[in-house]
Amino acid sequence: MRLKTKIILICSLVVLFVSAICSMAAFYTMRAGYLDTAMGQEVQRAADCFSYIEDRIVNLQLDRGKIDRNVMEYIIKDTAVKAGVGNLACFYINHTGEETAVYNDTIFESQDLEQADYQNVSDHLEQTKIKRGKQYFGVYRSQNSSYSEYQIYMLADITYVQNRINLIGLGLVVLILFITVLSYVVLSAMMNKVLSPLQELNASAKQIACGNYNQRIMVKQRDEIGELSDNFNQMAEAVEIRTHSLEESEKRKTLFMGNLTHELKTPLTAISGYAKTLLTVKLPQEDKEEALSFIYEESCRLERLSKKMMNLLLLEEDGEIVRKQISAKELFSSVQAVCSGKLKEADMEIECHESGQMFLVDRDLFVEVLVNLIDNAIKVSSQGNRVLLTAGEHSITVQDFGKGIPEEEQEKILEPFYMIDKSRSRKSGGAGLGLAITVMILKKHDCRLKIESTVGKGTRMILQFV
Amino acid sequence: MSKNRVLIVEDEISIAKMINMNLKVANYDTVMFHDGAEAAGALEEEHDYDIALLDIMLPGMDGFALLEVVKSYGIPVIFLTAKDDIGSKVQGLRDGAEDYIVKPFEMLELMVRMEKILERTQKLSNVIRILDLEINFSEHTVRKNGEEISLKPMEFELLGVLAKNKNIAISREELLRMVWGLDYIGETRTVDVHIGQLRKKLSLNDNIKTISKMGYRLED
Repeated sequence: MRLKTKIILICSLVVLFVSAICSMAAFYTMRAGYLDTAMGQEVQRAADCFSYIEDRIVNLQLDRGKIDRNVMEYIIKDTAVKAGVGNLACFYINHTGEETAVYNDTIFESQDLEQADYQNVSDHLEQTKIKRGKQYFGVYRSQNSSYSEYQIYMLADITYVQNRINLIGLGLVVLILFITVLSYVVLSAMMNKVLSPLQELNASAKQIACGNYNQRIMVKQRDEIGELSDNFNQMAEAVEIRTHSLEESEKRKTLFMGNLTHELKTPLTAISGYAKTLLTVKLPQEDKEEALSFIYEESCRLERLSKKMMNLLLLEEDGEIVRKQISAKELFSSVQAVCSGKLKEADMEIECHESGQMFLVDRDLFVEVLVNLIDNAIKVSSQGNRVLLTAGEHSITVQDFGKGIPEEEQEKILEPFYMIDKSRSRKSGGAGLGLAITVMILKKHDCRLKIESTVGKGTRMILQFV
Repeated sequence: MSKNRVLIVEDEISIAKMINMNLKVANYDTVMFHDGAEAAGALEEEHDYDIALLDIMLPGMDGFALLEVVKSYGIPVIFLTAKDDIGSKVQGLRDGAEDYIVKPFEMLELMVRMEKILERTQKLSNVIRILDLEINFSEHTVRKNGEEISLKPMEFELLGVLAKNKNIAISREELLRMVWGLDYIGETRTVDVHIGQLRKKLSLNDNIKTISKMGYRLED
């Protein structure tokens, strides 16, 4: 069963139950009150009637002494006619307690009236209620010693009260049903409003399950459902970010593999092509030598590539690096030692500026970073240019005065295998992996690479320690 | 007989030179460029080429753009590239390239494909002269020192393949496929027998060389 139906059903049942109990209580209280009121209204008539009868009896007693049954019957009949009172009964009680009816205008026998439970209303007036079939009667009698051998009853038909009460009961039943239906309708409407975010939540969850990760819920409420929606949105966002980053890394990997394949294909085409040529074609000696030298060069390129790839893989796999305090001076002199050959070849010089700064780095890896950057600087500079190597408070800067990097290329050069000037980089033995390795090493050092470059003026590569 | 001129635009110098080396030996005239824009510039000056071999990923101007330039001079184009995705292939061929060859490729395959295109564009000369032989493909005749020598059809085809790829060794299997056709279920012995016949009839004992493991080569 749906949650909505459950809640509505339970609430409607509770409403039904409570309103039924209240109605029943009200009904019984009202019924008792109504009957009492009706009885009270009849009391005056009864008192008048009895006092009339008594007056007659007293008068006749003064005249004649004892009242016999015929006189009594006459008095009662006369009262019934003159006072317009119906439903009178008079019984004669002899000395053995036996009762005989003197006059009986009611549907009851003397026992019925005798045995009822009477309450005292005033001096000597008593009353009770008797039910016969669907009719209700108020019964009144007087305890007067002046005619103690007679018992006179006056009955008042109060069935109309009962009818009215029944009508009220019916009304209450209708009211209960109406309240229940109303509460059902109101609850349905409220539940729809309150639970609609749940449905939305459900739909969104389904969407997300289907892979539609940018799904969100519009939250309007400030209750638990609102909170749930909030949390759900946060979860969806986390999932989206996570999948996005996974997709990104997958895309990067595919791109990397694509580039790698391309990088492998070219030298392999050359190597196998030259080998085949040497084997099948009748070549002049100089061509043979050239073919061999190409085979050698391309194999060297493959070797370099595989070395760099290994570096990259090791960096990616190995978790920790060993960081030690090392002075800028020491770092720079190691770098200079490695680069001196290439610098001499390019007829370039390196200028180091430091003032005793210390850096917490993995020495070998960081030397590789700086060598990579200086290699790049040499590649883009023309003969006779300088390369500046400057240590700052929390940074090291490698600056060249070469071609500079166009702004749109600055992001891309960090990608593996990306080369701005492919043929030139190839000639100088690049595979396009230097900066990718550099970035990887820097990441391990919590160090950021900032590129400031102007085309035609040169580039500043700033290693910023966090 | 005029040589067919080939335009090679390939930024990998090693590969450009390799193609160049093979084509030169097979009697083609070649011109190499390593930059797309440079090639396009040079074409303005001089565009007397029979066929062009273009890389796609080129500095200066990429192969697809260069194709338009080359095509405008009526030069048929073969793409020679490492891009082996279907999109590039479709684009290349739809844009009007005659063929699309993915690296790494076999030189022999490239040369056969070039030959087919040259045949189609009727740039291939009908007569090949090699040593003292004159092979006429339209008449199906071979003359040695002006004297006609009768060859069986398969012998003529075999001689044709060897002459067209002179100085390049072709394996028995490749010869079988190129001369007798792909579906020919024969033994490589057949090739040896026909080679023997050619050597005898045209006295080419010294010129048709057996290269161990590699096949036969007609040298001039």
